[in-house]
Amino acid sequence: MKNLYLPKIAKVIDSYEEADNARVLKLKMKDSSNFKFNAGQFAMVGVPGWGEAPFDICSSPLKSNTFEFCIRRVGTLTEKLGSLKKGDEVTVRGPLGNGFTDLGKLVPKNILFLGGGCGFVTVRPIIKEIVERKLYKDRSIQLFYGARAEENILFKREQEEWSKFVDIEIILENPPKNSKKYKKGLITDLFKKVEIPADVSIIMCGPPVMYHFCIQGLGNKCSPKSTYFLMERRMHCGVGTCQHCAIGPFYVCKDGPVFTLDMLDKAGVKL
Amino acid sequence: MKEDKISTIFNRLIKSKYEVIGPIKEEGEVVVKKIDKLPPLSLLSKVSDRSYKYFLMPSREILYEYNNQKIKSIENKISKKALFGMSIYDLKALELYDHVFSHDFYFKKRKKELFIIGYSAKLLNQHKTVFFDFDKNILSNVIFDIFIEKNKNGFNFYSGSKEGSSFLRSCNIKGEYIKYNPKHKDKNVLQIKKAVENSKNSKLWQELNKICLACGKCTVACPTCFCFDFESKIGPKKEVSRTSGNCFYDDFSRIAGGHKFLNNPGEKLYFWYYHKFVRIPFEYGLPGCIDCGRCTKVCPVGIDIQKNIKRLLKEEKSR
Repeated sequence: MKNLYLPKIAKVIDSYEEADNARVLKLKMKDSSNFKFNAGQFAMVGVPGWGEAPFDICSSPLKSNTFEFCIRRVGTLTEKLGSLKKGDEVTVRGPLGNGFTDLGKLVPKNILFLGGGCGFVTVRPIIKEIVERKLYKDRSIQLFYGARAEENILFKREQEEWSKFVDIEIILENPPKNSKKYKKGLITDLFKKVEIPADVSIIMCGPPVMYHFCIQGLGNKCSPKSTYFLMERRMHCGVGTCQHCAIGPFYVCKDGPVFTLDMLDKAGVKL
Repeated sequence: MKEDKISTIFNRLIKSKYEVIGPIKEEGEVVVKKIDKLPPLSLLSKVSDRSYKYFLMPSREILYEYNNQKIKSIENKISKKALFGMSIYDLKALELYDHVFSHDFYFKKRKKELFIIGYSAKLLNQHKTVFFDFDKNILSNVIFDIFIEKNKNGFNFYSGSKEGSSFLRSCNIKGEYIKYNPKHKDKNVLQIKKAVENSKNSKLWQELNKICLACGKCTVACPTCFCFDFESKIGPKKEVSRTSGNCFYDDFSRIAGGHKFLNNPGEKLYFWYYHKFVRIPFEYGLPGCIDCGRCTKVCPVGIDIQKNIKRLLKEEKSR
């Protein structure tokens, strides 16, 4: 019988600082095994003795020999993970959760991403897959990103590359004074300023409060079956047993982290 | 005289090198722990104050360690245990654990070494509960090796497994074999599920919010509460343990950065009831509460689960 709680060991093969006090860790399995995952999936990443916690896998799902996590330093474990250097070992349990099995089959085809705060990390593997599979060719891809200030914008350099294929709109709560580059406001303000196609799949990655206001702001555009949310909860087991991440009748770790509005509605979960 | 058969079973368990776990009186409470002699049957007449759950899932167990740059699963030494005198309600809880932990490497290993002896101090058809359908086939809806049912003149014996049958044979006791056949569409369970599912706006939660202390005693007493945490230890041995969780404590839902998803006793109680009466039936079709009454008994402010469920059922009817 497989022991679901045993992690594997991965080695840090590269790491670099990102914005927002975050560090990107590039990992490779110590036994050189592949790490196959879907965009939107997560894994439990830990440091022996320091514990483990769920982190979204943020590299391209088309690559499985190496994989990445973007770790924002907010607590003891993340401080530790953020201090790791090339050659250090971490434990990895996963990939876990559902994720997007085939982004090419999303209906409607057009995609609108709404990313807020550090929830933006999860947008990265999805955009990477879209760009690498050239899915942008026959559909409109829009990315709305709301952040506090310029220094909080994640993956800024990569966004320049993405912007060749994706319409990126960034809005900041506190933009630099007299900035022409950034709009000032909240992500919901973009709904009035930027045209969104009538038929669109919406993928939201951000704090729960953002979901609430985005649903209100988008109104009819949020079709129950094609509006997706990436949910965050405390997790321990990662396989739907320990109850920490329960949400209505579901578990974020097993039935999520990607949920449709329809699923949450039926479960009586209010956003 | 008739009790002799029970003594025979007990003595045979001891002879067969089982560590026998059963009820014993300690500081005014009926606890369950290792016993060397047959407990007085009066102790078995009621549900014990403490449940048997920590013998199914210990409150702390080491899962694995990281040593010499390797992850090693800990092979905890597991002794053969006989859980003696479990009530029909406790057997319902065991059935739930068997489903919930069906993929759990550590539970499965431990369960393999368990021998279950159930006991009812009255005929099974004299039990009543609103929490699940307690019909004449109740024994086929629970998991056990041997079940002893007291009747007017003596005892009826049943076996629920091959091991149970051969054990009874070895004691020269005749017993009827009952095949396990779980009930997945229990009308009582489904009725309560609906009532709790629709109760979000019931005043009950506000009322309970005012009195509940979120002390978590109910979850410790509850035989079906199985939430757990993973805990890491730094030191020469970098171990990861599984420990009992408690959804009434703030850490339960707290995420990095400090945000919590359960913010007051009312929300916590709703989460607790929702797990037992909605999520467990949704996942397994089984009752999440087996009406043992332990949570009501230990609650310092008198929250009565039976009363609350009856109220929610009434509210659902008038909806």
